[in-house]
Amino acid sequence: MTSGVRALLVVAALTGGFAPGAGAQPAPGVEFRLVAAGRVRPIFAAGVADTGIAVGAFRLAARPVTNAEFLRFVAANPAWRRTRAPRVAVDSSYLRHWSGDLTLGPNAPPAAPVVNVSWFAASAYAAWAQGRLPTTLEWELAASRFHRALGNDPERLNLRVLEWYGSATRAVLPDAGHGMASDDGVRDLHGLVWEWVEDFNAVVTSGESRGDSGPDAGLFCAGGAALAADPSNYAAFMRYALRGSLRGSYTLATLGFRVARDAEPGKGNR
Amino acid sequence: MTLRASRLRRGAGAAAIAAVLAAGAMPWRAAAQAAPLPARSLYRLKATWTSHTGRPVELPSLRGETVVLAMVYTSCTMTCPLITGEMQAVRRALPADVRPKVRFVLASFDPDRDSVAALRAHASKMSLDDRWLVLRAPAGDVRQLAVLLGVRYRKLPDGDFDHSNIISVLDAGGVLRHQSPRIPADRAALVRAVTAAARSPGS
Repeated sequence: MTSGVRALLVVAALTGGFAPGAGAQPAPGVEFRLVAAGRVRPIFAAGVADTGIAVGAFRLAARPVTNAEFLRFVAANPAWRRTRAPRVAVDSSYLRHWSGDLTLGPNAPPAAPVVNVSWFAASAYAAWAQGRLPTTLEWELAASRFHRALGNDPERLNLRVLEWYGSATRAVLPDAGHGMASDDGVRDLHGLVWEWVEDFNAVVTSGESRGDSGPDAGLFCAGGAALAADPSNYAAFMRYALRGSLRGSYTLATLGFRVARDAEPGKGNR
Repeated sequence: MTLRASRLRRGAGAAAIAAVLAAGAMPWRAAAQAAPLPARSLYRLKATWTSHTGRPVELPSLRGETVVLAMVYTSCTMTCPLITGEMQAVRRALPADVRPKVRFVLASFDPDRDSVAALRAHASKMSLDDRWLVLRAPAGDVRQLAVLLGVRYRKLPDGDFDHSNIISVLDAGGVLRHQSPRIPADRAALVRAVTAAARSPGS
């Protein structure tokens, strides 16, 4: 890239704000599944009854957002292209597995889940796709229901998830939509990529905290409340720890997202 | 933090100047008046807040001033009053030439309970004068600002919040120059950072 071209790109990046894009809407590609209402017992749950927190029904994309879908988003919203997105919203590895601003290349198969996206970019995509990111409780509810696939044994799910967490990172991710389906028909919740949630910053501890230690009293106004409710749920703790270590501009080669929508009363899975 | 941010700011400034030269069309004066926001400016966030006086406030309207900013909720009886008190103490400790250039902002992460009337009552109770803004916004905009600042918060079943005790210093361009992560804060470091930001040329 010549310095002149780079300078002009800097101008483009500096002049735009970052709000959900107003470009053309995405083609309807992914199915949304109704996730029935339920209860979630958060891993850090001071003040929460043993029965957990009630989570209302909502709709969740059947698979994570793919490279091809994210490409349509950045094509329609130039401010979110790799060389233009503001540094306050994306770090320097944003979409680094793509070959160019509008070129996926060999490391980004079209149907594989998009990764290397920040929370700001994921949120902007979700708004553009007429949805939002799922909340932590919504995601955990959806990701806890595998009775059909694994029988009524939470430990089997726990082991399966931990097996994935312990496996090596793949250089090129497989296509989305082929992983184990939850009882609600949502795929790839475990085993493909980690996923952004809307309120990832609701983890009120430092990233270094462990389950048996309270938060640093000076850093947080938390009344010594953050004690582990269920330390045996190590997989959930891993997700909690990851969320606690993230900033909104961070991008990771193993971190993608999917879109959620509010439930439409009286309607089925679409 | 301060060193790194100022180096980035110089980088962004040089790039902007190079860009203007490359474009060739923009006169210096016009460029200075309508300078683009720095790439790391928090004012790139598009959100409209409402102040304790009921006035709509877009964050870019704070451009040109040094800003000391914290996120709190007004019914907090634990550390939020300490955060506000720390900001008041920083203001008192600033050099006389710097003090009038600094804006103090409290942004609420409790839009359900912090109505304009609640914000106004809080400003009155804490004796906040017209250099202070107490702001509210819809929940989604609150989340975006908190994420930009690295502020963590979680609503509890009883309506209170667990939250970070961060106080942030923004320069004239809205770029984060310093953060105090804890209460009690390192007040001397905050005063130094605010003074340095206020005395450096605006972005």
